[in-house]
Amino acid sequence: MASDCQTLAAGFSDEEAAEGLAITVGLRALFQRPASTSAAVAGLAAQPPELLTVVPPEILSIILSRFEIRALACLAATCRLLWCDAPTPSPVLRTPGLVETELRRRAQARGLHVGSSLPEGALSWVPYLLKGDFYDALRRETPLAVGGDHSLFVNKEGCLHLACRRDAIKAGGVGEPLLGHDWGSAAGASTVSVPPTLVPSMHDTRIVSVASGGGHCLALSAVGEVYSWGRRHRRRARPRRQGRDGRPEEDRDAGEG
Amino acid sequence: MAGPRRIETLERVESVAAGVYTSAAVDDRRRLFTWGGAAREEETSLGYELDPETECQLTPKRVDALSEDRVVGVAVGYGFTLGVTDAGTVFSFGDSGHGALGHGLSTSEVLPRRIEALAETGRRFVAVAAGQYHALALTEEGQVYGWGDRDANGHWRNKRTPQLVTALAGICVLLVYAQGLWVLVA
Repeated sequence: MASDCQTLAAGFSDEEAAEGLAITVGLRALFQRPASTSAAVAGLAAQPPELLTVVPPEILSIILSRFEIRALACLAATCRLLWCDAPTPSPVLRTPGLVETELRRRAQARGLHVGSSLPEGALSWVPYLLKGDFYDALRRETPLAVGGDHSLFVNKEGCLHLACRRDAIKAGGVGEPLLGHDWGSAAGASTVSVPPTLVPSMHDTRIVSVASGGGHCLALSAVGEVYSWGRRHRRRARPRRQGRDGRPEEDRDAGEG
Repeated sequence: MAGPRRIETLERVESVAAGVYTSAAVDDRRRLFTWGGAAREEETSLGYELDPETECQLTPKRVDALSEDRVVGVAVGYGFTLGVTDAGTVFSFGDSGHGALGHGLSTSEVLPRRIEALAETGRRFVAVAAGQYHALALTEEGQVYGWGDRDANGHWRNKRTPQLVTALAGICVLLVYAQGLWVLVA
């Protein structure tokens, strides 16, 4: 119990932590190991969600406001699961509880449009309220991309990796390495796939998102910088232009696509 | 060695997308930038007219036609580009050879054009995805609309106007992703 208290006390006042502990105890009672799954569902369904509201709503709201959005989402999903499993539909299904109210508050604070009524057939607000944060993360974080002959990966630490065929290096067609690696004289000699390999020059740049066209790649860093590399894709319908004297080096890299 | 190099003119970028000819980025001021070339001069998927003297736009350039809009998502396919604004509107531009623009016409669009068929649904769109010849748009309620050609599952093969992907009815989709000829929903 002491450790629970310490965990919950992180960032909370003593009073809030004590109330949080009460919630933990309540949740543990709710999730006591059941004799069988069906008995558990029946048992949980019989337990009204009021178990969560033995704590004064004002205190509960304060506690919920300290939750990370994903923790809130988990809690809301759990509540949803319990309520949806109820043998008889409850008015609670249509009425956002405290957790969902907090989710809605977060969503609106981020400028997310939240409808005033649930779409027909929907049982819970949870999926609708979660979208703002999820979309923000998803839009910003695309950890993999597939190009014509290569794949890009970003690992948990934000390190850029790529996998390609060894002969893909020649596919640049303009004498430029395609994928950010100089594979040396061995390039082109084999079609063996190269497993995902760290791109050395980017090892100290935290990447959050990658994108790939046919032969070029983009990487977005955590601070909003864009990196590009690969080959230029020449327009097919017109003859290739010869040489561009004086063109800045930066432009050459930025102008691919 | 031509490794990754920073594009110095882009700052505080929130999302990036890349197609065969075109690259795109959206910054934290919700401005859309594109750069790259086009398969054919009249089919630029950049959102603005290309300088006839150049083959391509070498550095990122803002799509001025969207200066009144706040772009929150962008996707680039094979010769076409899709975007979605914070108002939930989806627009497209580029080559419509496979119906991937969603306008129901075979003409190409140089400038961004709102996809009326999606606007008429009355739904608010929150994300777009582009494959090689097809496209997807996701509503805030989790429905998926698809259009274009050569899809992987046949549910909306060669549709020039967006249609609800009925195979996903009843599922609240949170993420759409498309690449090449296949799609992923989650």
